[in-house]
Amino acid sequence: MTPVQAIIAKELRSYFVSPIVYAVGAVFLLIFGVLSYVFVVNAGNQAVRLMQVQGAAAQLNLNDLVLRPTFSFMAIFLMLLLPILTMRTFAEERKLRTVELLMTSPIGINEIVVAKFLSVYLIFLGLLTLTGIAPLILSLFSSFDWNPVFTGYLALALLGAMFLATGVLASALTENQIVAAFLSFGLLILVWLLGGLGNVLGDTSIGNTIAYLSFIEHFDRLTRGLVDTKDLVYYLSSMVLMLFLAHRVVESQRWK
Amino acid sequence: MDQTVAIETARLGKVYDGVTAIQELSFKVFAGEIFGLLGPNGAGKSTTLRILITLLRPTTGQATVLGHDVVREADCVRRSVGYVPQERAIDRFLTGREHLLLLGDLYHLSKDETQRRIAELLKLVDLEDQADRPAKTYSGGMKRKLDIACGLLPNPKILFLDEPTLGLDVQSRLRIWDYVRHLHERGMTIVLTTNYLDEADRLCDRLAIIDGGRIKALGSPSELKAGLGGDIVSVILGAGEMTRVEALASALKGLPSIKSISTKPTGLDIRVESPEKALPAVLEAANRLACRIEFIDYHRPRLDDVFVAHTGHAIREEFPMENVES
Repeated sequence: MTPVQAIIAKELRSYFVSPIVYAVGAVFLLIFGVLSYVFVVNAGNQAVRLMQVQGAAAQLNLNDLVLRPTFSFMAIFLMLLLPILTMRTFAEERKLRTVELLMTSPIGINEIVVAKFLSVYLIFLGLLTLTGIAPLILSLFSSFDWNPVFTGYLALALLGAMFLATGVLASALTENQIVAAFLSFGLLILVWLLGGLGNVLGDTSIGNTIAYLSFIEHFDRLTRGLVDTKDLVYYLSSMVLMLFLAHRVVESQRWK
Repeated sequence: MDQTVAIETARLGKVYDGVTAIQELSFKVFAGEIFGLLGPNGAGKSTTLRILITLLRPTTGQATVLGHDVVREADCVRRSVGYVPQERAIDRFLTGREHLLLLGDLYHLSKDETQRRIAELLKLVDLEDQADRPAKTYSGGMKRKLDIACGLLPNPKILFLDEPTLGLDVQSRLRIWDYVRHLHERGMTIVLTTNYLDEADRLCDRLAIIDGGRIKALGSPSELKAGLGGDIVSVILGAGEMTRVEALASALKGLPSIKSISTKPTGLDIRVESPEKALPAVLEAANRLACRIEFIDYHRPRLDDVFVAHTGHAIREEFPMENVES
C-alpha cells in the first residue's frame, strides 16, 4: 500500500468502529428518504388535482417536482451534517497526539491532508450512492429524464467535496472537535449567505463577484442538468483552496 | 566507540510565546553511543528532542542529524530516525500489529520486509501473543513496548526515546533498559531524555545535564562524578535542629578540607576532599554548636550530587537547596 492508501485504510477503520459515521449516515439517508417521500406525495397530489381539472392523466415533470427540490434541500442539510464527519480528522489526532506518528514519518503533509480528505469523501460518496435507490424506485413507476439526475448527483458530489475540504481545514485549525464542527458550519453558512449578499448588491461587478462565490447558483445550474465548466471550476478550485489552506495550517503546526 | 558525529547542535534555542524553553544548546552525539538529556520537568529536554526529530523549528541556532539540517532537510532526517514519544501515540482503534503495518507503509517498506521486521520486533519486545489485540486494551508497559517497536520498525540509524520509562513499574523499566542496551550493542545511536538519575547513570555513555533550558554539564557519568572531586559527607540533623543548620554551614565554610556545602531540608551535603580529614572537623563543629547529628555517612559522588553541584538544586525536590562554594 502507498502511504496515502495506508492512511485512508486507517481512517476508514477508525470511522467504522466509531458511532459517528453510522449516526451521520443514518440521519443523511433518513433525511433523503423523507424528502423524497414528501416530494413524491406532493407530486402525486398535484397529479390528482390536474387529473380532476383536465379529466385525463397529467404529465408531470418529476425532475422539477421531486428530484431537484430533494437535491436542493440536501445541499442545506449537508452543511450541517458533513462538518460532523470531518470534525475529527485532525482535531482528534492532535488532541490524542497520534498525529505525531504521521508527522515524524517521511511522508509529505500533502499526502496526509489528501488521505484524510479522501477517507471522508469515500464515506460521503458511499452514502450518496445509497440514496440512488430513490430515483431507481421512482423510475419503476414513472419516467423522467435521467440527465438532470446524474448532474444533480454530480452537484451533490462536488458540493460535498467542497464542504468536506472546508471541514478538514476547520479540523486542522483546532484540537477541539466541537469547535472544528462549529467553525466548519460557520464558514459554510457564510459562503452560502454570500449568494444573498450578491443579490442585494445587484447586477454590479462586486455583486456578481460575491454571488459567484456562493455555491447556490452553481449548484442550481447543475441540478437543472446544465454542466458548465465555470461551475466545475468553482467547486474544484474551492476544494483545492481549502485543502491547500489545511496543508498550510498543518505545516505551520508541525513547527510550532 | 565511533567518533563520527551523528547529531550536532549549535547554539540551539526555542522560544514559545515569549517563554524561553531552551537557549544556547550546543552538543554533539557520536555514532553508536547512548546519549542522555537529564533534567527536571520543564528543563527543555523534550523541546530539544522535538527539534531534533523535526517536530519543532528552532528559534535560534541550528542542528544537524546525520549531516542533515533539521529544518531544511527535514524529510531526510525523518527517514533516518525513529522516535518513541513520551505520551502514548497509540491509535485506540488499531491493534499492535496494525500499528506496525501502518508504519511499514508510511516508511515505504515492502510487504515482506514489513512482515519480517514486525515478527522480529514483536519478539524483541515480547508482544507476540498480544499483537492482534486492540492497543487500547494494553497495559502501560505493553503500550510502551509497542511504542518502542514502532520507533524501531523503520530500522532507524538513530532512535530518540522521550522519557522511555516514565511511570512504569520496576520490572518494565528493567526490560526497557535491556532493550536499549541490546540496540546499543547492535550499533544503534540512541538519544534519550530522562529525569531518572539511575537511568541516566546506568544507561548513558554520555549525558548532558539540562536545567532552565541550558546545558549545565556534559560528559560521561563517570567523568561528571570524577569532575566533582572528593567525596560527599551527608549530615542528617536531629528533629528540631534545623534552626542551627545555617550556623553549622557557616562554621564549616572555609575549612581547608571542605570544598562546598549544600543545605538540604534534612541537613547538609558537604563535598570534601578527604572524609578522613573532614569528618572530625564536622563533628567538632556540630559539637561546638550543640547541634545534634542524627545520622552521618559519606559516599563517592553520585549523579544526584553532580546534578546538585551544577544546578544548585536536586532534580526532584520540594525545597530549594542552597549551594555554598567554600
